[in-house]
Amino acid sequence: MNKIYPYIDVLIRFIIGAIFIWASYDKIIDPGKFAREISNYRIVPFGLENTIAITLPWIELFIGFGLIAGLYINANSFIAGVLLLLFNILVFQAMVRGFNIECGCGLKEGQMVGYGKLFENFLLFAGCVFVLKTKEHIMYVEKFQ
Amino acid sequence: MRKDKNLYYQSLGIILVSILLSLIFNQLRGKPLPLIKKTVEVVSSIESLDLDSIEPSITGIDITLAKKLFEENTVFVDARAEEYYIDGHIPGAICNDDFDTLLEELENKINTDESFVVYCSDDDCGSSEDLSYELQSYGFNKILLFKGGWKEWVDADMPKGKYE
Repeated sequence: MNKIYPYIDVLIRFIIGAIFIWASYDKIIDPGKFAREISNYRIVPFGLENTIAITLPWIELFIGFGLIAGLYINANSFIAGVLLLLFNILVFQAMVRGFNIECGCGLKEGQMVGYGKLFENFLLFAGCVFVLKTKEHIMYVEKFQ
Repeated sequence: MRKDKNLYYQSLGIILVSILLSLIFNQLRGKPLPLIKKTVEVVSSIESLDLDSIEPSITGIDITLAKKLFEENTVFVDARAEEYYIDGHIPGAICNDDFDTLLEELENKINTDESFVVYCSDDDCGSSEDLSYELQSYGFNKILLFKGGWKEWVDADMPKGKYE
């Protein structure tokens, strides 16, 4: 059974990596729109929405690339997991405050905050934990671990 | 323990490199996004509007000014989805789920230097602001953002348009 784990690990890395790269694309192209989506959460102070909108998509892009290319796999899955937890906190607080807003996740146009989004993020988070817990990765660059 | 330390250092390194590259990339854009977001200023009188400026602008307006502009037959653009527009809208407002059609309708009514009002459901919705920035990128210079939107309009007991 253990022999199959590294392959599941690669599959999960590719899925999470592709999702993060895909999610980053539109945000990198149009950070202004992403900044307005962040504003809708009404939680970021001092007008820092722009700073987040400029930097966050690049972190997502690096994570995605790292997971797929096999660079710093544990560190990338760790950051991805932390980000997904943060995203879920943001989505949840928006739901509690009754905001019917687009999640600004960059995956599907018009995707709203809601339980579906929470579940989606939780699944990806579980994937990150699996990658982090996998002792022996395959398909990785040894020099960059 | 050492392994954990490495993980944190590597994570920090990845984040720092990403941030650095994102800032460089932003500066290399034609129009870099400022690091701190400017809030849309809300005005309540026509005198406060700088309608003579040739600089593209998006200015927030309150219900008082929205009423006045409505009485002066200013064009209103409904940024909500058509299904909400059908339920009720500011009389004469234009709305279309298809952006290109909406743009065409707007261009048939006004030229890019004339002011017009964009609104959505209420203060919480972001679609009016999104649409305003999108229309600004198509050359519309004087965009007025009615942030209170349809909810404030209804609460103020203003006339409601019906879908025909």
